[in-house]
Amino acid sequence: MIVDIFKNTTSGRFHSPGKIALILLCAPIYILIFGEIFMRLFAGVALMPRYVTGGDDGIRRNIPNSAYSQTSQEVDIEIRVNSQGLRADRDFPLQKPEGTCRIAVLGDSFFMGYEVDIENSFSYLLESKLADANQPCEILNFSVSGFGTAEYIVSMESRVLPFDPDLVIFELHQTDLRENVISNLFTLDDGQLVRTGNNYLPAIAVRDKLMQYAIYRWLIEHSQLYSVIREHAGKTVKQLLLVKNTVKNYLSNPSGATGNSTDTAPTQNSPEDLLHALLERGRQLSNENNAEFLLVDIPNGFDPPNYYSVLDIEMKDYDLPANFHLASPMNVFTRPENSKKKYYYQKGHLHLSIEGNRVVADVAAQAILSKSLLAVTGADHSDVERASTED
Amino acid sequence: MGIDASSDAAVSLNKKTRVLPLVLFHTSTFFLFFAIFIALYFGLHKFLTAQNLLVLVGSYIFYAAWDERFLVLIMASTATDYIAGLGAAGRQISRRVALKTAAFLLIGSGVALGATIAESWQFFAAVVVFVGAGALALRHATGLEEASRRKFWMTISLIVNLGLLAVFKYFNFFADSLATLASGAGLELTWTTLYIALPVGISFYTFQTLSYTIDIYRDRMKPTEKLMELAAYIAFFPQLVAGPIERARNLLPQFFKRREITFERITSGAMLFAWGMYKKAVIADNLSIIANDAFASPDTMTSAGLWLGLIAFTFQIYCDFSGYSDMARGIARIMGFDLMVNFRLPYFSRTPSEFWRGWHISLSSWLRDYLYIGLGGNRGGGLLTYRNLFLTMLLGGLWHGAAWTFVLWGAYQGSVLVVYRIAHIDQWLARPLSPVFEFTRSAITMAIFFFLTMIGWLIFRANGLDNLATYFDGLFAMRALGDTGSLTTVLKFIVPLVIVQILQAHYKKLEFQFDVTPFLRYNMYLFVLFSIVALTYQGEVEFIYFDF
Repeated sequence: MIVDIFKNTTSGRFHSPGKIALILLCAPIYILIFGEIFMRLFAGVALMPRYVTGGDDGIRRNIPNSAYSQTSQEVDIEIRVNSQGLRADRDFPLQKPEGTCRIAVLGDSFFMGYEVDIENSFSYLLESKLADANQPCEILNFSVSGFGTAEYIVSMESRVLPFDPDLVIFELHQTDLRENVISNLFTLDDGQLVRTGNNYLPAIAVRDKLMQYAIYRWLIEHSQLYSVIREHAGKTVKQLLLVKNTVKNYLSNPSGATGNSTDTAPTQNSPEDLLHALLERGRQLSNENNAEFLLVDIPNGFDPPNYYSVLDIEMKDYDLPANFHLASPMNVFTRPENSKKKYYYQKGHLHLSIEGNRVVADVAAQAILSKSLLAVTGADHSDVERASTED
Repeated sequence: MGIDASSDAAVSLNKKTRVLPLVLFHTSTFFLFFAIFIALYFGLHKFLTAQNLLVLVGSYIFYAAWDERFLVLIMASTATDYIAGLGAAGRQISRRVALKTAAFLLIGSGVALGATIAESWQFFAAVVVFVGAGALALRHATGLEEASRRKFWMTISLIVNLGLLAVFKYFNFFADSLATLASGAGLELTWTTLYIALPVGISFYTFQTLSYTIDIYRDRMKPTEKLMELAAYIAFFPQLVAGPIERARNLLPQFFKRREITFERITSGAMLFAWGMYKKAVIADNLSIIANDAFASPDTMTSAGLWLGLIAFTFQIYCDFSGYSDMARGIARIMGFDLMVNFRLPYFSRTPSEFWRGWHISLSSWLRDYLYIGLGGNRGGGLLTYRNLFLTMLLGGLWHGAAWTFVLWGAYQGSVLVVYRIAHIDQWLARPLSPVFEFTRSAITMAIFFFLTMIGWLIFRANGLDNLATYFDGLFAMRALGDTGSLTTVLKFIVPLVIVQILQAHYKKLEFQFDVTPFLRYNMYLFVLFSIVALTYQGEVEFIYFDF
């Protein structure tokens, strides 16, 4: 049945060896062409390449001086990375100039500003908002696509703190729970945060090799079929890593690591516990270096207008709003009059839209100003606060 | 009607327990389960009994992944019909058989509830009471004459199976409706409503077990003395939660002979599964977004949007259910079993009788054989036949769910069936015409009946009577026809399906792929494969029929 492609339909006999070899050679090429045409006609797959490589600190970083495009049915934008691996059009001196205020932003692709131009990214809009409120502050965006909280902590120690920020902002998203387990950089041992893995560089070696070839770089920015295959492969690998690390954690601590917060027995090694401990560590590192610490919640935008936040579901029992400085756009996103607004792009990888970035920047600016998280004071903040309440 | 139907619909559609991924065929969790299962299954190919035991254990694990407590219901139904089947054949139940059945139920329930016995001890207590009641029934039946004994066991099967349905599926519906009706008359009825989750698949396996005992009672088959095989047949996981409702006459004998496992069966089963997955995960789930939007707020939609929403649901429900059936048949085929075809191009029907010969065939034939004929069928002449048709469809509607919209849908289908019968449309269509007129007549009658089917689905899907009225009003209000934004999406998913169905009709075969050239066949495979890879809806949409 399967082999009938190698047979003559009328005689039922096998083709000659040469013809069979030709079919075997041409079939994969035909399948690839068919797949690419199919994707373009029926799927309209978003092309969201990520230019990341391995850093000396054992985690991923943006490829310095890279520039690449991201396209979907809704966007066509360019990502530019400076020589320090930050999404910015200029480099920043390590030594903070006298009198300068600095904010370090740590996040994944949401804060990296995927699917929006830099002018519409969270960092850029936050910087503008603060400048408008007479609180000029340069923002260094250390975000890298795929990061979780564990990587923020590693990144803080190796990349962020040398820049002497006055405020550190952590993105908080539902995927952090999973990413922190997958990366296995930290685990909990009787409730204590322990560094377990030296590095987490998924598929970076392969990617680095492939990136040397111009055809591969062309492919990742232009082939929809490749994009689909890469996404599926990435998801599968992550799923396997999640299973592996969950089992590993369970075997090392059978009483916890279930990831199921509804269990009757209290666990101290669940993904929620790990996330909480990592956030505590982030705040501790910030405070030890004279920086304030702010969490910015990015709700899940899969099914608008039914947004939900990790604060209200998985992390509900930890009461993060009471224990951390926190900004969340949930109140704005879920207002009935905003139900038709588009806060997330739906045709790409569900990143924040321009409007979404603007709202998140607004609430973050409002939190920074109202809680006086920056050393510079005395500014008139009324503009920002008004803008936020108008949303 | 004075009854708040919207709340009833909400009970059926919203107040359900979430189904875990294992019972959803198109999830990685199920693939992992099936990979382990099938490896063991193939390994036991030479040992029929061990293989049957594996099917039973695998099926129970599959069901327990949703809720292990409700496994007790399947076991109770199995135990009842095992004994009732033997009794309905006129046999005396031996002590050995009775003890074996009691042990199966008590030990099985104990194992199923073992981990959660502290919270679900009531279930185990109910099983103990049930076994006690069974012992009394056995004692009573022993003294009966053969004919009375047969009738007695048949009645017991009906009481237990329909009783399970009544308690777990319909109790809240009727209790709430009665309370609402009474409060409308100024009476305050208070009782504790049993907010029980609807056990997944209960409507399917209770009908399946009932047919086993009824067929024995009607001398259409002999009962089995092998409890394990009967239990495996009732709990057979490919079709346990959403059919097809397999008659024991077809499926049960397949447990008693070594199954044929060949490369051809495995590949064709895998392809049937892939086709079902394409219908479910690609077409149905993507169309569900458009349908859900339309039914959520029909008052804010344009007429064009409402029509698109209705078309989307018409194809969603077909692809959701027939996709599941295809997946079930594909899995069973890989295992060497043959399940019945459950859908045969229903949207190409010209009349309701053609439609019900092609839609959910296992249920419509069940209703025909055990309800319609039981009511007298067409033996009583015109009016009685119409009454029987109407009642059968009405109860068929209620089978789909405990909500007034389903009752109304059943009444609507019954009325359409009766009107077509009064007008002798089937006889008119049977009269031969020249090919051109034949084609025109078929096209027109098909279009008319497709329209009537869509109206039926509107009643079926509506979130209550108010929602139905608003939607219906909006459809024909001709409120701004400009909004056709979802048209491309709807067409993108429907057109490939319609093309395939035209080919199925042309070749008069559902699996026609071997009648076309290898080139076309492999391109079809690639289309389905790439669709599943790239177009599978990423959210979680359960099978619609899991609610029934």
